[in-house]
Amino acid sequence: MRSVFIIALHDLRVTLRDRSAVMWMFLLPLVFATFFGLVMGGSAGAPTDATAHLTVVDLDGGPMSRALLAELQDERLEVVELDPDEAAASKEKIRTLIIPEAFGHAVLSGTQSILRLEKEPNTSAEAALVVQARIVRAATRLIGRMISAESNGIDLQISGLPERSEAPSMVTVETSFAGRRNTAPSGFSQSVPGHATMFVLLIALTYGASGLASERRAGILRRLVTSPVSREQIIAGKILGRLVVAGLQVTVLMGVAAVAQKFTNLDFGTGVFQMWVVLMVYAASIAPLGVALGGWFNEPERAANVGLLITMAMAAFGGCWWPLEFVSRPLQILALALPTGWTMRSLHGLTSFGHTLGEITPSLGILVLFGFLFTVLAIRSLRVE
Amino acid sequence: MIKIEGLQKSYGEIKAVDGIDLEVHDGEIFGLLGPNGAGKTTTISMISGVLKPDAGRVTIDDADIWLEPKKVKRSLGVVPQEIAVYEDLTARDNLSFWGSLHALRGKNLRGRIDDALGRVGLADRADSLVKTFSGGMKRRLNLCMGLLHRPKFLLLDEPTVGIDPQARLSILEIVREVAGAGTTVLYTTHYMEEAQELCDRIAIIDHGKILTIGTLDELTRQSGEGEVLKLIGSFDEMTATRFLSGVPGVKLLRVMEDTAMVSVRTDGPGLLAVLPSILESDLTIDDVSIQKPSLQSVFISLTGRELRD
Repeated sequence: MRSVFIIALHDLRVTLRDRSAVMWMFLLPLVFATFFGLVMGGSAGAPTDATAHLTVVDLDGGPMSRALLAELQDERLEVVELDPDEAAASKEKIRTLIIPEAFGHAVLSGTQSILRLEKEPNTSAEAALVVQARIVRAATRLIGRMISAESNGIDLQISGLPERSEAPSMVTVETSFAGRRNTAPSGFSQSVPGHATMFVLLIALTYGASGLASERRAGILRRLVTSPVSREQIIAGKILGRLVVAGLQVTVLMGVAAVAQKFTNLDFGTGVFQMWVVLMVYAASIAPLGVALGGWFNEPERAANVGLLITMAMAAFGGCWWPLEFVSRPLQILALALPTGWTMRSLHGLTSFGHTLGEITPSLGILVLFGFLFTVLAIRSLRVE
Repeated sequence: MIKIEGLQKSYGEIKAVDGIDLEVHDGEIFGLLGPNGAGKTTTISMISGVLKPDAGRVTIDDADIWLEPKKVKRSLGVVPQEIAVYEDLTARDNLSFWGSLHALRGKNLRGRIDDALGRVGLADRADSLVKTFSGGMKRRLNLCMGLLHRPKFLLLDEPTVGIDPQARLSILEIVREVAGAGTTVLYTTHYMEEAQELCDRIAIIDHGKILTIGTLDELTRQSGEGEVLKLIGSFDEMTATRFLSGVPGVKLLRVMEDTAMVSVRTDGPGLLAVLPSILESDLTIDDVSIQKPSLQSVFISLTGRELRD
């Protein structure tokens, strides 16, 4: 067993000595994930944390409606106030809050006044819910101020609402989403898992395969066979070597994701650790494929080129480039024939649909089966000559 | 002792090794001499457990390499024909990896690495990347890897291919030292001079078969070849060939413009009888040198062609 670890750690050392490999392992996945995350919708933040746009049409214009506007400004809302005509003509608006005429009078007289939130078609329902919750919070704070003033003997009908004090609000409203999100991943919740999945495969099938082919061409595999190490140990060491490389890559990438989540509004759903677990299972499943590929090709360059082609195809059809939820049914079925498809399915489950590790265990089981299949291929293909 | 019995290996219709039997005795340097494609590397590969023979067996100290591979391989040092090193690692890193596979570790491993690098003259380049080495230095490192675990048996497959004469001499010297320390060496080469200078016994191999085995003296005696006469003068190739072929007790080895080589057969009238008849012929001979019989003449007498063919 010791020999297996020696071979595996040696492979890690050889890979890390290659600067281009290090760049492709760590730097480029981050660059690609960031770029495509921004291009494909930006923040993967939870709806409760997102900064939302809100257009306000104040038909009342009185002190009470202005006080409500001030409270709205305190929420994480980008508030743009427009008059009714401007609002009707504006193409920028996404959600519009209509404060009705005589809003202030109705509030002070204790009669119902209805605030209307209009959502443009084809805009995010979740974001609308976020805005709605924030409007409720702002309105609740406003009501709190009114209660506070009246309890201090101020007649709001005569004196109006006093300025906001520094004292803590009487009422605090905490809002969070119950249940699961059910929208297709976008932005970083697609680009981070997608690019992590693709680049782990890329390293295993290009550097992993060409490295093995290079060792055979240089006679290193022949020499390895002459050392007191069995053929089984060599195969296990080579597979473990690719797993160690992929594992390090996954750990670094998910470490960066965890830090990003901590210090920004990025949110990866169930958790980065759970993503790490999925990606480690995935790394274990594809590591032997790199060995098999290295066994099939004598020329390192050819092994790397074929590895690249396979990576691109498996990434595209497995949902690394775009969410599988967007593609046609036949392509969704095709993705199930690929380890990348099952990995992205699992990761989307964690990041976008609130699944737990327990719930995605069947998908991980499929990845383990892929690992067995690729191990058989690796055993059959590894040649020293 | 390395014992090889009835070893065979075919690739399709081609018999790369065709029933080889030989024994390499403890402490000797045994040469396997033959042209490219003769079956030397295939033989070494089967001895070292890289290739499984179609038939026959290899035992090293009475242990069969295919039945007790780990035991046998612990006592084997193999230096392949290829420079099987990691170019992007340092010499020390390369040795550390191979030493670890031979269960060397810690202080012992570090000591062995320093010792082995010193032995092949690479101590001052221990921490340099191998890709910065010259061809000769890489060859020495390649050799060093086979010596690191101080094997009882060392298999060297053409370890001097493609290097300059100085580097070659250096490697031969190292092999002599290793053998002097008690290591049994099996050395394949297609360079006659190397086999002649280095080896205690030599087997000549061609087309996968051992043609003959023995010390240099035994081989020359077996072949019936005596001294080699090198004649330099003014003669054309055809005339020289016609005349020298007809001289009793002489075997024509090679004729080129102005130069001819013949060997004096040990079963003929002898050098003193042959030489006057050549010098008194119509050939204009300006210079005659007498060389001791060499493997070249033995090889020609056994195969009918020169080794480089």
